[in-house]
Amino acid sequence: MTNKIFDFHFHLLFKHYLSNGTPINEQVKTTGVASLLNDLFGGPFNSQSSPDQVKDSQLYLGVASIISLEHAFARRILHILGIDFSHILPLNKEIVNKTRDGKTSYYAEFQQQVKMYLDSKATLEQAPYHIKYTGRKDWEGKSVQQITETLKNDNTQRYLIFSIEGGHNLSDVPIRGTALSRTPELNLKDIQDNSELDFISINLCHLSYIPEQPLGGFAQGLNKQAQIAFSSEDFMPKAGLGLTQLGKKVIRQALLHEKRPVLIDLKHMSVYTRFHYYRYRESLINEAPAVNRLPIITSHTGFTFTSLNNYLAKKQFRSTTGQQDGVFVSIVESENRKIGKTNDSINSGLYGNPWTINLFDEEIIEIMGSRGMIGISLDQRILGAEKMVDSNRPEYFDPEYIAREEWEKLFRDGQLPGAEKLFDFLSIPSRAERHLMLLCLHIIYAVRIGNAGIGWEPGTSPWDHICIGSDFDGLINPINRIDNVLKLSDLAAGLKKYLPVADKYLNTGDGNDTRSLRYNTTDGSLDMNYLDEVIGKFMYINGLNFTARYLSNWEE
Amino acid sequence: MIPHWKVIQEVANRFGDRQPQFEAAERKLCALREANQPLVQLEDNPTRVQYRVARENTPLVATALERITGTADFQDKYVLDRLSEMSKAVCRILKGGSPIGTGFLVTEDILLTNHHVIESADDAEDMIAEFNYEVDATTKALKRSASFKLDARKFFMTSSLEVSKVTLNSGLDFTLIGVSLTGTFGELLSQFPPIRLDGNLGKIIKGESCVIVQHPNGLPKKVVLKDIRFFSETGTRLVYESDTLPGSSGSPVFGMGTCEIIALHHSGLSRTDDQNRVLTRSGQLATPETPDDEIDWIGNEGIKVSVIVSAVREATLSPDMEKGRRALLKDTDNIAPQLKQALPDQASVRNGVANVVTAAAMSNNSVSSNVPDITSSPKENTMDVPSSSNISTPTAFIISALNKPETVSQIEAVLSVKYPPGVKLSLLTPATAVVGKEELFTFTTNFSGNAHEEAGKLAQIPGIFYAEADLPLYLNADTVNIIRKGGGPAESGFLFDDGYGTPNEDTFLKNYTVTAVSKFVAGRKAEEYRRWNWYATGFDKILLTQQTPASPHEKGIRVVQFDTGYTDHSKVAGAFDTDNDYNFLDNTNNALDLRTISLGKQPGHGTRTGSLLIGHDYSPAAGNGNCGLLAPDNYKLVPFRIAETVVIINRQQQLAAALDAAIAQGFDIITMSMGIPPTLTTARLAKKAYESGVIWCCAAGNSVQAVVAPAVFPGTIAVAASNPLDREWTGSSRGDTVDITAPGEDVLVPIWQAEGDHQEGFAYGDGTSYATPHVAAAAAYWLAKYQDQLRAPEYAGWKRVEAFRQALKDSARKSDQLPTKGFGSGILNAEKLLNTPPKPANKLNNQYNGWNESAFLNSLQGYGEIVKTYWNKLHNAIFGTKRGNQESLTAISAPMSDSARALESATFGKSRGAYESTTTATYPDLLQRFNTVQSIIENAAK
Repeated sequence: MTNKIFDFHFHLLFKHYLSNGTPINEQVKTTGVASLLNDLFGGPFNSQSSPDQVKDSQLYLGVASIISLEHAFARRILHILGIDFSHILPLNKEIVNKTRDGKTSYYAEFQQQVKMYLDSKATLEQAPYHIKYTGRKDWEGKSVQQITETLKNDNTQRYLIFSIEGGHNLSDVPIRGTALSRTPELNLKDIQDNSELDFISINLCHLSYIPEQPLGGFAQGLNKQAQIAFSSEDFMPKAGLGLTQLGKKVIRQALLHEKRPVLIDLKHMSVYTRFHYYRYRESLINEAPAVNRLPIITSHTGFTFTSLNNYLAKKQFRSTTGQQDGVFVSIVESENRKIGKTNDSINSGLYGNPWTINLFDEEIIEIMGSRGMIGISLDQRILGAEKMVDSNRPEYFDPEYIAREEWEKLFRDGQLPGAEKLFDFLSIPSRAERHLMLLCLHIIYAVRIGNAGIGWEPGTSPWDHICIGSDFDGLINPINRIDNVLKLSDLAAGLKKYLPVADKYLNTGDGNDTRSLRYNTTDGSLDMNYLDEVIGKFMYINGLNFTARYLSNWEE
Repeated sequence: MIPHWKVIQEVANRFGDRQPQFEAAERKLCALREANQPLVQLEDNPTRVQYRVARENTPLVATALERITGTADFQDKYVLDRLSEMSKAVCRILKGGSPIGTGFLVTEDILLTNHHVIESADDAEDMIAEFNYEVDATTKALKRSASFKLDARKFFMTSSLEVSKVTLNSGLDFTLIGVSLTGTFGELLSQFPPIRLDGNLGKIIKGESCVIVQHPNGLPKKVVLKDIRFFSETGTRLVYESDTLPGSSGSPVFGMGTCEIIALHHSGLSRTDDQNRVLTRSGQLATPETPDDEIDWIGNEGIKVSVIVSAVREATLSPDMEKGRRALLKDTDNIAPQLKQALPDQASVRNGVANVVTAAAMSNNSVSSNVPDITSSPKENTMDVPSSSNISTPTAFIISALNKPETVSQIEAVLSVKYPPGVKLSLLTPATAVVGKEELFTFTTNFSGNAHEEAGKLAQIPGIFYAEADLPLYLNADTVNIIRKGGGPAESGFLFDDGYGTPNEDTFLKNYTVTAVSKFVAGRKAEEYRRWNWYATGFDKILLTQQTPASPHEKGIRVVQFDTGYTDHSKVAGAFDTDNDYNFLDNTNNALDLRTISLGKQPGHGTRTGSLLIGHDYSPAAGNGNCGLLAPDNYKLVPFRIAETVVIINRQQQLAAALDAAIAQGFDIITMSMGIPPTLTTARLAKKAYESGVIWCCAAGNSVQAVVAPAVFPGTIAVAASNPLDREWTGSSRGDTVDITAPGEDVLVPIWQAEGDHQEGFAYGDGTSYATPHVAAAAAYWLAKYQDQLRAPEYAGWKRVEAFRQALKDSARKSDQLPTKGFGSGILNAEKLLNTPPKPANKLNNQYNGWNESAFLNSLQGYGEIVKTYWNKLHNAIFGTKRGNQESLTAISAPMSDSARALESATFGKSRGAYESTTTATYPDLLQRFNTVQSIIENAAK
């Protein structure tokens, strides 16, 4: 079977878990006003990757992320213009209320969700789903090669592996109470030692501040609409610098476990915390060389299209600080980065999302250098799409909150911004095409940065380290026309059309315009075979190989 | 540019009412001159004289005063050199090619002038600063000048001519603006060295001469070489005699004696009629057309440098300008500690001045009886707001209130009416604050009067539960001078107040093998008796045997130390965790203890207490011994630097920030060998720590008997001190709130030797400071051992602390030698502790159940001022003992408010008089009163 797809990050049953009793063989759907809201918010409430959708899709291998609902979301669900719309959503009020009122812990909720997955296991393995959970112990004694072949050639089963989204899932104290979670690493150890589900990775942070268990600084990830709708200050980073003592304990436990190490997923960490993590990982490698075989990953990211060095040295942002409700806040507005231009006279610009939740150039190299994997998000906002008409952005992108200490350290002292060059596009693209183009620009950019930063051995290339990280059912607004897992199969065709355009026209003004695709030396025409090969890698093969390495417990 | 006349009129408006005061000072100056009397008598601010003396850089007050008051006809020649050097920084300011005023560089690229010369950034668009516009000494021709564009984008800050009640620090008529580094012909600005701004006191005292370097009417640079005296002042201005012309606005005024800039020259101060209208010499009303020399001048006035510096400090600036701000404040901040260090005591200054005056009177054979009295000086930084009450120095307050946006903005609104507008509250512990819960906030405002009394008033504002002023407090931390039982202060004999010590093993051995016999000392080898504290606490049975205890290091148990930071003493070098350290004094991630050696500083406190946890087994220093209790576990201790010295904590906010970080970082144990009197802030912090489940081991306190904060609160573990005989250390605080006792008298710690070139060494020292780390180490081993039980959710939060406290108490070693009360359950027994598992979680009692927090805080709100005042006086007595006959610290106790005095009388009766003056109270008397008041507060909670 061809055209298989790998997705590094999606949520299979999260909406079912939160919904008011939707059976797993149905999709979670909004109706009436809620449906209107669903459209208004870009579709986050309807299912995007439920089992019912997956069964008809090309998704044959993927990482389902398990996450407990954060207090920041439960505090006040969906208020718009002062009106509470939460009742119209098909929500399980009990989960929301006990999360809001601190009557449970994230770890308990996490375990409930794991239980739901396990309870659904038998059903999902059967027709029509054929979704099979797998983990390292199913493949003991098998080589990477053998695992790859089996996964690749099994055209019946869809293999599902698991990740944990957010360190908060390890907190066993009442949600947002005064008692601090003191031993999250021991809960992780329990999971590693005993859980029926095997986890490839854990995100240290997620979208909100968890005061009862701070593991490290997180980056602001929610847009204005959502912040207003949920009305929680916890979405905005305000205090903290890098990894905490507690965070280091969790990372240490995650990476040092012999049989079932869990990778650290960079997504949602603040930029300072990410760089802190690279450094801490080095110190762990010094302590335990086996850690070196464990790659750095990010499962659903975008790029800032600049290096941190330039960002800081050329001061590609402006910032303001002040006192808000008794708290010192620092807000940074990064320069809008035009990364492409189209011939659409009204809507000519293409911009990345310069929020610091997205990766800087140095990090792309760091990840590839560790033989890691970059899942590129299909959330249109993460990729940079913003408005219906998006030809001309102001100098600065939307403000984002930065934790005080991080702002003081990283952002406060900088210099004048550098210049940007513009470039042209050939055709007038539709909104959907613009989104696709943004994705292609991200892919090409990662490869270009990888090529420039690393000397690649024959047979290896930056193309081996990128994949899809859709974040479906993670309350996202997917790029147009790729609204759910079923539509993912259209992606390959889109990439085939737009990767060559992106390769030609990506210009971030840094003087690096080395092509990422291959061209025939005779006439300069595109090497179509190579294009197919790299698309195949991005869509499936990279994920396949990476999963096989995981299932062999990172055999070298 | 604001017209000259408007400036004169504004000055007349603002200060016309004070004309009698200026004239009295002027008369006094004339009378003293006539009587050939020392002009130092003009100065009525003793603190200023104190600082002025400190700047003379001699320990001999008499010599300094002689220099200061010596006849002005003789000046050291270097004065000319310095003035000449500094005058290079002076430039004229041209707008559209015409001269409009004078200015001068105050950093490498920021210039200071008047607001009425440069009103706005736009105004400066076509302005240039022209340096070197002066006549050449030989040719008498103009030198080649260098012109630089002004650059407001680099830095811009201005304070208007008129004072506005709604704008902080308005009415100071100054502008600070950036200057291009390269001139119009490529000249480098760096050839004109800036004049340093020193905002500290004492650059000049009344009666001393000043010098103004200026471009009057845009003319080439001039200096007035007449005898010009500073003779009067207002809160923001200095008033002096001088000859200046309109273009001189924006010139620097230097104090001749110190060659420091003292003011930004501003305007003439004219005589006025009763409606504050400017008068001419003939008594007519002056008009804009009246020539300057016809106006009846009292003198000139300039804006005090100290006021400009504090305005810079308080200004809201864009982040781009922070670099400029730092440069502007650098000198003030650097000089302040040096000055404090050199500060002579008030009494000797007073005597010195009296001697100078008497000597002059004798030589003149005249009396100064006809010298008029003048009114006293205003406070530094008092804003000169016309016809309204004084607003004064920035004061920080801490309040408790509900952490809700509506409450915060409501309180901010009320405070912004009560004080200058724009008051903003800041959460004291932002990382751990919970929305909707009562939390602590701080705000700073300009305010004059008694801050403690003001705090009482704040507590009446709706929404504010309690309030206190965040003023410096003495720290109760170490044992340089301890109070022997029933007596007054006495030196401990091993450490001196400058931080150096002397090895004292001979005395130690005599005390515990001859005078009395300690089983931990007598008959033992040096390596054993040097760590007698191990044997006394059962750590020997855990760490010196074959069995290895569960490793805190491997189990990830993290301990943080709140202290003065770390040093490189070989006993501890490399054992502090310098990856995770933090300095809360200046918000940097380096907790290095700079070991600033000066009076009363006692550097290295963190080294001494830290060595008991992580001191290496081996150190090349003489007398090495007593390895740290966590050292066998290869443990690294994280230092949080919360105090520069062990003497004073400047702001409780810094302690709060440290606790906030310790909780948010996930530390399990805090060891803190310092204390302050009970305060609102420490009460709240102790509870916060308890609820989060962090074990906060605190020293019970030294020399004051009552248990200090935070040890006194139910949430912390309070540690008293014992000695090698298992007896109480007499200096140890004691009380119901003590949980446990551990070795604190004659414990071997690393020092730097007082003799010679201060080699490293060891000495036996005293203090609950040393007892505390024993308990922190025991907690680390206990948490490691019982981690599997304690990780259960039912032990979350305070139950974790309580489980430890219970095990600690259950396992304590009862000693017949200890007093039956006040020392907790006995002496720490680490071996038994490790065999005492946590009590079932449902059997643990929250310590706050028997503690009425609101009654406590209410009582504290009332008695807080008295407690803090007594506390500071007590510690002034403790720390103020001389070494070299000097008083160690600046006076930091303000007069008590009327309400506190009334309360004091009600509590102690009126017969003993006000406790305002320590001279009337004996030390034991004061101590007794302190303990009485503290017990009133403590009892309120029970």
